[in-house]
Formats: sequence, C-alpha cells, structure tokens
Amino acid sequence: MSAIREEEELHREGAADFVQIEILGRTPWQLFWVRFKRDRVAFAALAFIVLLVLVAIFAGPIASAFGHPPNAQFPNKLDSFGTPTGPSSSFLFGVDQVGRDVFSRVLYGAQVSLEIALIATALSVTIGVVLGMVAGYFRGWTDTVISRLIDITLAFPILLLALGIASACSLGNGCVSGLVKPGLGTVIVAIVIINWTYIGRIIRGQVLSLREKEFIEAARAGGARSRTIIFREILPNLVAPIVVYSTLVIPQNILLEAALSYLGVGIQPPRASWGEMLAEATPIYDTAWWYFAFPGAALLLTVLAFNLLGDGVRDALDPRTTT
Amino acid sequence: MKRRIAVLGLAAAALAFVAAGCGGGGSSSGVQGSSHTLTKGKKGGTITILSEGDIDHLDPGAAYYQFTYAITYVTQRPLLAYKPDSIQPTPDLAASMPTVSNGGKTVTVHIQHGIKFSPPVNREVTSADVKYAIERGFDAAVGNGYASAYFGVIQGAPTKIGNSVPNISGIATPDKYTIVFHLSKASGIFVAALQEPLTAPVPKDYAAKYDKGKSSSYGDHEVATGPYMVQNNAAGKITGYSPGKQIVLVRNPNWNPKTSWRPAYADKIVFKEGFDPTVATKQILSGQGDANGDFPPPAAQLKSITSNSSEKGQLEFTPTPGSRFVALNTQKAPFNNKYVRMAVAFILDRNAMRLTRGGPIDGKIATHFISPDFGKSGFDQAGGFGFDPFKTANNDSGDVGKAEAMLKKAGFKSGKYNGPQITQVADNTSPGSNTAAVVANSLQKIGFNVKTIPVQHSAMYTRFCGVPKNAPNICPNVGWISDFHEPQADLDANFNGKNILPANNVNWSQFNDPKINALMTKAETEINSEKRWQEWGQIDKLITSSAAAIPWIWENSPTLYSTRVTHGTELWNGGEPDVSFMSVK
Repeated sequence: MSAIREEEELHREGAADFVQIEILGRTPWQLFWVRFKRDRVAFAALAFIVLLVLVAIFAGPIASAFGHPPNAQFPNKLDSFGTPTGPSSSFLFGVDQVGRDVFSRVLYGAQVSLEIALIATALSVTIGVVLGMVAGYFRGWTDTVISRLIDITLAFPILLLALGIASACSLGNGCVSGLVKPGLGTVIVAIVIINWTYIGRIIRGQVLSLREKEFIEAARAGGARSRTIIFREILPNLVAPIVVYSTLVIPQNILLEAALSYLGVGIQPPRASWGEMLAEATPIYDTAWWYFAFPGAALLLTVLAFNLLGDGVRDALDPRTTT
Repeated sequence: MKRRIAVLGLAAAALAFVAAGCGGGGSSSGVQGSSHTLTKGKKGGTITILSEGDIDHLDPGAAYYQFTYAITYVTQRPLLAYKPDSIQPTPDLAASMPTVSNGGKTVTVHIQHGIKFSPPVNREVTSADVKYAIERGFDAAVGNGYASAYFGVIQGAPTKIGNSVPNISGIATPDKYTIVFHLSKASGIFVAALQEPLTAPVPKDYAAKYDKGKSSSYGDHEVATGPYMVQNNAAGKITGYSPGKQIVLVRNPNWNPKTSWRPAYADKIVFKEGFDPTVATKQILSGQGDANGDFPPPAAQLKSITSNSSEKGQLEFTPTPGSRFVALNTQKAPFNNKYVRMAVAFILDRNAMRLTRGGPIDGKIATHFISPDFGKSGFDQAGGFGFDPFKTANNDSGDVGKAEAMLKKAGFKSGKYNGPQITQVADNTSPGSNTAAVVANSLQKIGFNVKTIPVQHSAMYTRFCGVPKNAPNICPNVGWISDFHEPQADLDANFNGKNILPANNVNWSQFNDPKINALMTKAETEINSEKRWQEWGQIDKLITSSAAAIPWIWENSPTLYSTRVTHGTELWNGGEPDVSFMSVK
C-alpha cells in the first residue's frame, strides 16, 4: 500500500523527489490498479456499476421499501383516458400504461441488463478466445475454417440476424426441439452467436505473433504439447486484451438486448426490461415522459458507465495509449 | 393496428377476424356532437383521406376489409346499401326493397332502369350482371370471403368455393330488370345480406376474360356504377391505384344523380396510405388531410383533442356493431368447467381492460355480445344495458369473493385455483398486449398462474386461436364486428358448434352446446324479424351466461375531420368516413 502511495507522489511532485524514494518491485496488477485509480472518470464509472449490481441484487427489498411489486397493476393510477400518471410520493417514477410502478420495473430491469452483460459476454468471450487461439496457433486449414466462419458471421447484418434467431425461437415451444426458448435464453444465444467473432479475430491476431516468440519455441523444443502451450504459455499473455475487450463488449450486449426487447423478441412479459419499457413508452412519449425518461436514463448511464470503465481499463493496462 | 382487417363475416374465410384494434363500424344511429348533416353540402373540391395501411382488393367480389368498403360503396352499387344515418338497408341498385314470398324461400328484387357502367363498358346494367357478380364470388379466382355463409342458401349454390364460375340455378333473371332468388330454406338474414358488395353488378362480357386463371385480375380493370370510379385509362386499366401508396377516385361520368341518394359533393377523392397514426392525426388537425381512414386517432391524441374546445367538434364517434371478448377454451381443462369460466367472468377487471384502449371514450363496458347500436333489432331483446350476469359492485373491476364462490362450486375448496399453469396467446403490441397483461393480473388474484405468449396479431389468429389443436386456454385479444345489423351475423360464427373448423376457426371458445346450437339453427330460418330478434336475444343471454367468452367492450369508432370538412359522416359499418356524403369548403 505504501508503495502505491509513493508512486502517486512521485507523479504529482515530479522527479525532484525521486532520490528520496526506495524502489519497490510491483506486479503488473499493482501497476494496473495504481494507474486505474488515477483515472477518476473510470473510477466513478466503476462505483456506479457496483451500485447498479447492488440495486439489481436487492431489487426486491428496495422495491418493497420505496415502491410496489414490479407486476402489480394499479388501474386507479390511470386517468379516465387510460393515460398513466406521473411521479408522485408513492410512485417515484410514475406508472406505466397498465398502472405498474415504473420505479420498481426500472430496478428489476437492471437485473435483466446485468444478467445479459455477464452471461452473454462471458460466453462469447470464452468461445471467441478458444477459437481465436486455436486458429492462430495451428494456422493452416484450421485457421482457414475458423476465419471464414468469422467472416461469414460478420457479413450478416447483426441486428437482423439476432432478430431472426430471436423471433424464430420466440413462438410456442421455441426451436431446436425446445432447447432455445423465448426469453432471456434466446437473447443470450443470439448475442453470443454474433459477438464471439470480434474477440475471436483479435485473439487470433495476437496469437499469430505470440507463437513466434522465443519462449513458445522453447516450450515447443522442451516437448510441451500444443494444448499445454496454448493454455499455459499463450493464454496468460492474452489476459490484457481479453479484459479490455470484455469491458468494451458488455455495453454493446446491453444495448443489443435492449434493441431486441424493444423490437418485441427479447425479454418476455411481464418481466421488466429497459428495452421493452422504451418500446411501450414510445407511442405515448408526449403524455407520459416519465415512462421513457427513467428506463432511458438507466440504460444510458449503464452503457456509459461500462464504456468509461472499459476505456479506463484499457488505458491502465496499456500505457502506450494513455493520453 | 386498429381496424386493419375489419369487416367481419360469418364466413370462416381467411380474413374473417377482427384485427388488433378493429374499431368497426357504426350505425351512425349514435353520431355524436355533430352539426354535420347529410345534405346541403357544397359541390366540388378534393377530399384527402389519410390511412395507415392499404385496402385488400379493389374487386367488389373479393373485397372483405372494412376500410376497403369505404371505396367499394362509393364506386359500386350493390342491390341494397346503408345510408350513413341508418342501420336498415335501403335500395341502391334495386328500385325498391326486395319482396319475400313462398314462406321466405323466394326473394324477388327489381333493379333500376338506366343505370350504366362507367367507361369503357358504358352499357346499361341488367339483372344478369348481378347474377354473374354473385356466381363469380364462388370461384376461387375471386375468392369471396362470405359467399358460402350468406349466399350458400341459394338453391344450386356450391357448398364450397370452387375452381370455376358456377351457374347457380337458384338465381333467375326473368327479365332485364328482375332477379329472383330461390332459396333451399328460409333465411332470416338473406335480405340484409343483399347489401354486401358481392351483389354489385359485374359485366360478364367485359370481366370474363379477367376472371380466367388462378386469380382474377378484374380488380385492375374494374368498372364502376357508383358516383365515383377509380381513375382508369381508355382501355379500362386502373391507373389511380398504387398499392400501399394511394388510391384516386374521380367522378363516374355515367352516374346519374337522379337514380341515387348519394350527394357525392367532391369532384375528386384521394386516399393516401402509409401514415403513422400519430402523424396522420396531426396532419388532419393542421388541415393537410381531411379525415382518418383505417386507423383511429391514438388515445393520447383523442384525449388532447377532446379537451381542446376548438378541436373537439372535429371528432365524431360511431358505435360499432360488435364487441371485443376474452375467449376461454371450453374443450380443455380448466375451462371445460362452467364454474371455472364463471369465476373468470367475475374476476376480470373489465374497467382496467377498457382503460388499455382509452377508457370510456373508447366505448361502453360490454355486458353481453349484441352491441347497443343494434337497438331494437336484438340488443333490447338481449336485455339491453340491464343484462349483466357477472355484475360486480365496483364498476366492473372484478370481485374476488364472487369468483371464489364459483371456484368452490367447481371443486377448488380453498376458493383459489391450484391446478397447472394456463396459457394465453396475446398480441405483442399495445393496446392488445396491455389488455392481456390486465387479464393475467386479474386471474392471478384467484390463484391462476398465466403464461403469456406474445405474437403478432395475425399469427395469434392464424397459428393459435384459430387452430383448435394449437389453441391456448385463453385468447384475450379476439373480437367480432358483424357484417350487418342482424344478430345472427354477430353470434352464429363465434358460438355455433357446427362452425368449429380445424383452421381459420372463429369459434375461438370452441363452444359446442347442443341446446344452443339447436336454438340457433331454428332462429336462422325465422323470417319474421320481431320473432327472430327475440330468439337471438335469448341466445345471446344463454351464451353470455355460459361464460364461454367474456365480452368486455362495445367500442366506438372515432373519425377526425379537418376544419375544411363542412359535412362528414361515417359509413354505416366500419367507422370509415363515407366520402360520398363529405363536402369541403
């Protein structure tokens, strides 16, 4: 801890004090943390995300303390034209078009967004990293097959593809004999199918240069098997790009889920999702601003926070790009 | 989505269903707030109608969509038609009302002399043109949606749509101006059905060449008998219709105003299509359009218009001849038990359901099926506003106590349903999706766990609710608008057990009660209208009490006119503006 503080001072006060400081060995992660903490914007983004995670985990207790159950309907909160009423002391964010508490639904919507953020990102990164490493390490026909698969997937119009997959599997008992069912699962599958390709390509490029490095040659000369080389020697050197890419792909996935739910093929009712709320709010935006404003702001802030966090992580891991 | 597919028929044809928001038609017996009168308009000018979607077919033999009828009735003259202020049919092509003889089995109609087809045909209309028009409706190339249901009763009529134009022996044309229908049995609604566009004359000598093949192209070459015609060229090819974009009507030079009660003030009518309802409503308010075509102004705009004293007068409401209801699948558990259905009828928050469509401005809470604008032709006989077997004390917001009492009768000792999860297939867009959310929420109060499968409105009908083997427990977004003001057209298709079909089924409850089926079969042949309406009124009461389906709204259909419009009124059915009665400054 003292070492970290000293480095901060070093940077603040300049080289003049350099002589007074004892030089300490630091791990790359300590260096990362030092640099990251210095990025106030990224740190604020991280704080927001921690808060969001807490809100999602404790959505139930928070809703019952400050609002109402997310699916309870209060038709007496609609006026005689069926128009929802706005924020009040018992409905902090107003109600939606069937009289449900927008506050509670925004809280529960955070659960959906974070589930997508974690599960879909983890799956697509795992698939992308494994296939990318395999392609880059073995080259030859393996690389050709995987690279062409990536090219073909990338050639698809992303949103239309997701829309197709999601809507084909949203009817009745789903598709692939019920394996892919309407709702969260379908959305995750749709996102994963699209998103593994980006990281797959990046990792492949990294591996192509890594595999020529001396330490890999040494391992190979020592008789290590390909699997050992890939996972023991190459993978640890890819941690930085994987972490950076993951934090940058999370907001994309959240937006993609919102887009799918907005188009009606994502999260199924009555479960709340920000995208679905925005879709329902659009036709009545001029009479019920609160219905799009709050889920919209939640979506905006969340995506912004993940983007800023991603930038901060990248800067901290890769000082060459620091501004 | 309102009124996307709308004029509904008895026929179990592909289009026979109410769309997500079919507003439907109005008998204009209840045109409100209107200084608009039917006559004394100003000649000349152009009327612009704004629409969201397109018509289904220009061909009067194929047209079956409510919005299309707004064009069909001003370009074609069926034997009978409705004046915008009446629910009783009036002679149009006919010279007088049909005479019924032989115990209801013979119907004779005389047609007017001197009515001519528009260019390029130009000749006088004869009774043979009406006969051909009806016959070609039974040919799959034309594919009429209601021919079997209303005209299948004619002797020699095919029981199903076939692959050629049949010669129907029961339609006789003893002279150029007389047409006689011989029916195989008496039909209480045959005369009313003569106002369907299928009876509008089609010249065989001109049309036969277009009727050949798999699909008739007469619609692209059709000739008119009404005051207007779709713009065409010298060869008769339609030039005024760009599907999905616009339809241009111009005056029919061969129309003689002395033979018609339509004032036909405007010189030209343009139907512009492809509008967003909100945008179109704003354009009408700013004078860029003159009336809304196939959509109602969205609820939020209705609210702002009705609360604006200068705009309020531009809005008219017409009641629709039909109702929206929640259909319960009576063929499988748990709704094969009458008491479980009745519990649903008591618990549904019909008030909240109505709020999903705009609240009281959208219509009255329905307490049975035959809607108020039927008046003394069925509504009063069904008990009028007084008949409400599932009345609750709280403004129709549902009653847990009464519902639980029914569930106890059904064998659920706690008064809560504790059987397996049930399924509803609902619209995936508002307002239907919201209505379904209210239904699910209401049922939850008495223990039901309702799984909602949201799909497109058309898929809801064609893949789920209209296909008995895929039918869910609940269809919350169905509704029906009758083709004309005869209760049979309102109830028979939806609730007669003989009408259950494996596909395109409109008896969504799959209701099959032998006693009620027999009462319907009897009422269908009753030609004394007073007795007939009495019988159907009783049938309505029995169906409603069985809770096979729970009606929840009798809708109004709103039409917004621009300030240029000095006279305007809605078509009898459909809530579309009747452009032959509109005039502009």
